[in-house]
Amino acid sequence: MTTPLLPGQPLPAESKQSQPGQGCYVSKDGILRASVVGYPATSNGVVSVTTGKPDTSALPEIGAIVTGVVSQLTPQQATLTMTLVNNLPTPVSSADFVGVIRVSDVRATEKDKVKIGESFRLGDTVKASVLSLGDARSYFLSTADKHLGVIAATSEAGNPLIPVSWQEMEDEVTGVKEKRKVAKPEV
Amino acid sequence: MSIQGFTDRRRLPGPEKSFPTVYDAPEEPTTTGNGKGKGRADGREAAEMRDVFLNSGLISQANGSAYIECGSVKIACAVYGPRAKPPPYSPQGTVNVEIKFAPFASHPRRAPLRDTEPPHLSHLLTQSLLPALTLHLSQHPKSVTDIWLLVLQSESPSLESTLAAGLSVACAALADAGVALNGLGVGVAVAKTEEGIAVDPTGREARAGGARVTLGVLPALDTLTDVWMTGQASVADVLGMVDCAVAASAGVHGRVAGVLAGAV
Repeated sequence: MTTPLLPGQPLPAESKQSQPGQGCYVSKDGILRASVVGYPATSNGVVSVTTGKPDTSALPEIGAIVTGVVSQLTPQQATLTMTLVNNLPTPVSSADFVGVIRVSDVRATEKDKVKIGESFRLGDTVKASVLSLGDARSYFLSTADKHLGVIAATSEAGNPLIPVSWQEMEDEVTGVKEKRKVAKPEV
Repeated sequence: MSIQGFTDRRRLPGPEKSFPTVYDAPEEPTTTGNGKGKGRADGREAAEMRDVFLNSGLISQANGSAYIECGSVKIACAVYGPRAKPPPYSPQGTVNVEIKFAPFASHPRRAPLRDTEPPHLSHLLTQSLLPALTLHLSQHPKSVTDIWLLVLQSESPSLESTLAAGLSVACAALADAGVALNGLGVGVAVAKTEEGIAVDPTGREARAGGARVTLGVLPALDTLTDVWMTGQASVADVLGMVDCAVAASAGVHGRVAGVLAGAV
């Protein structure tokens, strides 16, 4: 096995024509260099430097799909504590990654008729996409897509809910229906 | 009912007889050089560095870690994060460098919490680390990366070699954590003594010397990250010291690179 590239080391000549991807960058002098310890790999004209070890955690970034638990509800917004980013856990820390779904970002149509209380409930597990980095406290999230919304919830009676339509979920035991912004289940 | 009935039970009763601790005189190694250089107390050549021992990945809980021994300076470094940053908002990532001295890191012993040296040193180290971290910080907005350094042994009150080794070990730990670095930063200290320029001075040489320069270097990019100078010297002398330090940085960089390449 050849020696790995180190941060700051120019990439080998055969990958000079490629676009810089993960783990490499173009320095001020215009040379394509590695930024992490690892081996170069080119795919579709993009060269990236990786160690081969899979990522263990991820940070929220614009466009990422996050999963979180509803921790606070107000008529204007639902607050989520994010636990997964693109199916990777968020870093362990005393400070949580907090996301906010504002009332206008719950669904794409009839936004003026959205009621937060009829879309989410405390403790619901929600899948959302990251709209922007948000403010000091929280990221701004959106569930305005078919595959985004509540993916798991419990009814007022404490039983698991199963989705019956895009805005209703049914108690498995009692058969009572509750309103949610439901994510289209993955098959 | 013994004597315990009369003593304060909240305190640990000490032995009846005690003696003050006796320390060995703080001794600096005298046999690290190859013996050819006659100019320096430990037998090194003027441009010869002390041997550097480096190891990475020794703290399993941390995202990345490294340990360095450079002469009598011993530092362990752990990198945590990037993780969620509490308010205020920052469009760039932030880095939190904290240096702590073990109570036994210097002679005389350090009193915990009353130490005034670590914040100053942390600030200097942050300055010399930032140019290597611009890439990482621009990629991770609203996040904070913690870099903790524990100095197990130092040459306090001269901080040059601690800062230099601290930069090298912090960069090694960051690379071990998979943090994107513009280049591997290494630190080199240089002192101007009566005999000339001494690279990687021991504590005694640094204190005796007129001027000391500590450089942060990115040898891969041929760039300096930071110059910290104390004492008085002419411009020509300072430039000479910087040149010496840059030349010596290649050796340290090679050592750090070798360790990191072997760890993949």
